[in-house]
Amino acid sequence: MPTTTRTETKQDYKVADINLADWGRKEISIAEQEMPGLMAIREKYAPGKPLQGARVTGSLHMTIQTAVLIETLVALGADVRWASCNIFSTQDHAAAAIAKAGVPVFAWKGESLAEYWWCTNRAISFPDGKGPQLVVDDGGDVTLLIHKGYQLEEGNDWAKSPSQSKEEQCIKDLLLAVQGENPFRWHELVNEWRGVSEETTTGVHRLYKMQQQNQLLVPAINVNDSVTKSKFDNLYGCRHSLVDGLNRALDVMIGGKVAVICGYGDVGKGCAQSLRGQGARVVITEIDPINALQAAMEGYQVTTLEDTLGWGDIYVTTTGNVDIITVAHMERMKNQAIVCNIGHFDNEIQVDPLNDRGGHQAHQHQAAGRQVHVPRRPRDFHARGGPSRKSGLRHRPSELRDVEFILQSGPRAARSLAE
Amino acid sequence: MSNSFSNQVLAQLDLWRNKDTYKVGVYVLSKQLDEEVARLHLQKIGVKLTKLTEKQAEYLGVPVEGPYKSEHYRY
Repeated sequence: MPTTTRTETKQDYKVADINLADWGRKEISIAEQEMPGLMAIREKYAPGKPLQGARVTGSLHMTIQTAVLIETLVALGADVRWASCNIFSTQDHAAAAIAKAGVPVFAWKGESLAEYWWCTNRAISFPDGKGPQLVVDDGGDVTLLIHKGYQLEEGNDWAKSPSQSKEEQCIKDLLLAVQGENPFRWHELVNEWRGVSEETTTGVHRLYKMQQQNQLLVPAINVNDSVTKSKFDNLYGCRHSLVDGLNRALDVMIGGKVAVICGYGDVGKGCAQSLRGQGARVVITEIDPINALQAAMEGYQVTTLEDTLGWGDIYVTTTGNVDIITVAHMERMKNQAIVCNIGHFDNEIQVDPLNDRGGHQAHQHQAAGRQVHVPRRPRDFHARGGPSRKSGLRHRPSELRDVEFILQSGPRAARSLAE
Repeated sequence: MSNSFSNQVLAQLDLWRNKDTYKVGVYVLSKQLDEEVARLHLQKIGVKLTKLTEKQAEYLGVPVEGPYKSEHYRY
């Protein structure tokens, strides 16, 4: 009797299209030239393989630039697995190139929230039931997942409590599913976890909060507050990327428009410069008197968000806080106002409540992650009036944040919003 | 992103090298490493850095090779 042997080579990655790998590789080689810091580190440390034997999970926008980071970690000897830290920020050609190079990567542009957390869980699942020893986090999602899982195993009932948002429910569903498979999963993982380096303001904020509450389980390095991070990428990166994101998604004239920037920290300062450079009349909102005074001394009008409703054309949230722009605010905005968030999480704008409210015609745009140096007509985005879509816009060379757009479109929209 | 990611790699190296001695807590990288990350980017964009003389360094009370600023300096 012939024996049928099913040879399943289970591929240890999930990307949109592996055939994009060659395109991705070309762009990675361009990006390497633009990232002299990483390449110098590679040259200096790669021969000694100082990360040999370290299992590293990254949760950070799976872009061309991130590919250079990943390959630097690999060159230093690390065993790397990766996911994106935003459902729309993956550049599919970057993910394909990384997958083809043999690094398990779980990321594609346009993940659902459930898929996003599935990807995150795959990225921390090394062979033989192992977890990461080191984490590169951006926004703290991996750190959050591990801590919540650990706490669940300690008897905390958060995972069984009602959720404040759809995303929170996804995390809880995942944690309960993992617990069903292995009730000690997170303790086993934490046992070998040696630390996390955190990329961004929001994630750092979470870390300090956990430390204060005595919940932090590992040493954490706050990369965000290196001067060469926050005073560069947050400021000049956003100065570079905001206008680019707006143009790709909407391509509306910015000159002459009234642009309202919520928050005048490093990111807000970059955004204000960016829009002023295009001829927008920039207005700042601030809660901190020092930052408010800085904005005023720089020549910007500083007022409250409420004061701008009806005459602001473009709104940008940069705060790292929640409910900065509410549904009630949006109801009072002028027709065709553009609302976007450049902060880490989309809860700066009440997107879910706006969509749940129904009856409105807010169009949210998802822009494709095109490369700046490829001159294409920016018509490759899709307007959607249905479920919430966010655009994660990434490109070279320096930095970009995910920018989310809501465009109230047409007089009917304004009416139905007001109804 | 080269700045950010250079810091990320240095942080990973630091955590791994000192994995047996690091205590639980939140840390920032040293000013030496911060200056080093910046230094790595200068040549690419054609920046020529001025060097302190011994006398100037002594006058300011900083090492010739840095770090140049106190911890509370805000840039």
